[in-house]
Amino acid sequence: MKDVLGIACGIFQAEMGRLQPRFPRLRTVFLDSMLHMRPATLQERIDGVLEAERPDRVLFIYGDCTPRIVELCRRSGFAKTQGINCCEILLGREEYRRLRRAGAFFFLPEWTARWRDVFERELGFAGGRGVEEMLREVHNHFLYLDTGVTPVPEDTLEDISDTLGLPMSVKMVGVARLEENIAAALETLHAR
Amino acid sequence: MPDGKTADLEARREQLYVLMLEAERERAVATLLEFAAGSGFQAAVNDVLEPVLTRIGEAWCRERISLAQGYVAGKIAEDLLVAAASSSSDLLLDVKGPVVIGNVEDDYHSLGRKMVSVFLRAAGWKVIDLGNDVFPSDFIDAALEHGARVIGVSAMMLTTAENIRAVRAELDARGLSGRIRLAVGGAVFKLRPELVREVGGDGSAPSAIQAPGLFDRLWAESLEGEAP
Repeated sequence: MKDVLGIACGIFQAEMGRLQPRFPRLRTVFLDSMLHMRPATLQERIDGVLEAERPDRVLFIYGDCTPRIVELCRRSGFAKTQGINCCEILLGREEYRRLRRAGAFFFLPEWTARWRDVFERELGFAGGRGVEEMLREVHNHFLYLDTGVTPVPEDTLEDISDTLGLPMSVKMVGVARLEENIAAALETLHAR
Repeated sequence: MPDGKTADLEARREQLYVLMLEAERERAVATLLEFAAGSGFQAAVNDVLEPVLTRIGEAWCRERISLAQGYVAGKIAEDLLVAAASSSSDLLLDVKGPVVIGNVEDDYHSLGRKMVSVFLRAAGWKVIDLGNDVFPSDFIDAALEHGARVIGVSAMMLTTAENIRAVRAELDARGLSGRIRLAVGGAVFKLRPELVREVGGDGSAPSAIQAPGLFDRLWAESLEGEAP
């Protein structure tokens, strides 16, 4: 019986495709990952899903992308994966903080393939003007988090590095930590 | 009907607004410098730059402009302030403060903080910007080192905003809460205004353009708090 509604960021859709059989009680809906940039709209979408589905139990496979997620998860019947964003969910708190403080800017599989579109259309850097400078102000390298679900897009990563002028490396993270994270959140949900 | 001077100012503001939205940074700065050459840097800031940045800020609040456009607008303002500082301009820089600002521990969303810095500097404040992911004790050590009476802490998300409580706790623990006032801001405070008090903030401003007014008030409160 699928008695838990998963509300997940679309950034994890491929990874959840692999993990779904491990969580037979979880039925997952995905929201557009670019809503991260518009927290008020993300909040509205979440409210819309909850209103339409009226679930008894909800698991957010999300970072702390809007206050609504954090606040709901302080109530009975709601839980979320640990981590302030998708990178921390995949890496764990200490490793995320270590890499972030070392100057990493993270690329995740879901949006790497459309990185130009993300920077130019979603973030509004017309013709890519200004992206390089903005990134260099706080980052000194790129890090692609390989979840092992889709092939590493070597050519795209090279293109990103050449275009934006920062070195790129690949870190194999797999989906094990995401799986553990979801399992722990589900345990919390059922214990409440 | 507007007179010639007013019409000229309005045309310049419109031109600058369009250049900012199109990320034409060099042309936008050139426009400002040309105006400053004739009317002075103070007028370039007060009569052209600030009204346009206010419009940009309003558009940002309504999600009508992109992150990139907000970023470029901030860089254009920064370029003008650098030009003013490196020339014998009439713009009054570093005549107030200093104040300390930064993003709270675990927070890396720097755009809003940078906009606040630009507006504060344009209003004459000397700004010590500690950057992203700043530990509570570092805010306070910097404020004591530089003699700042206001610390501005930025956070974008609810969980990082809650880290501001540690800054308040550190101020209380060192007995500095009357002398050093705590300004808080960031996207989450617009969604949850009650957070300002919950995390121990002494005040907040709804947009970066209103930060100088907030810092004026908090600085005055600090002085009043020390009055015999």
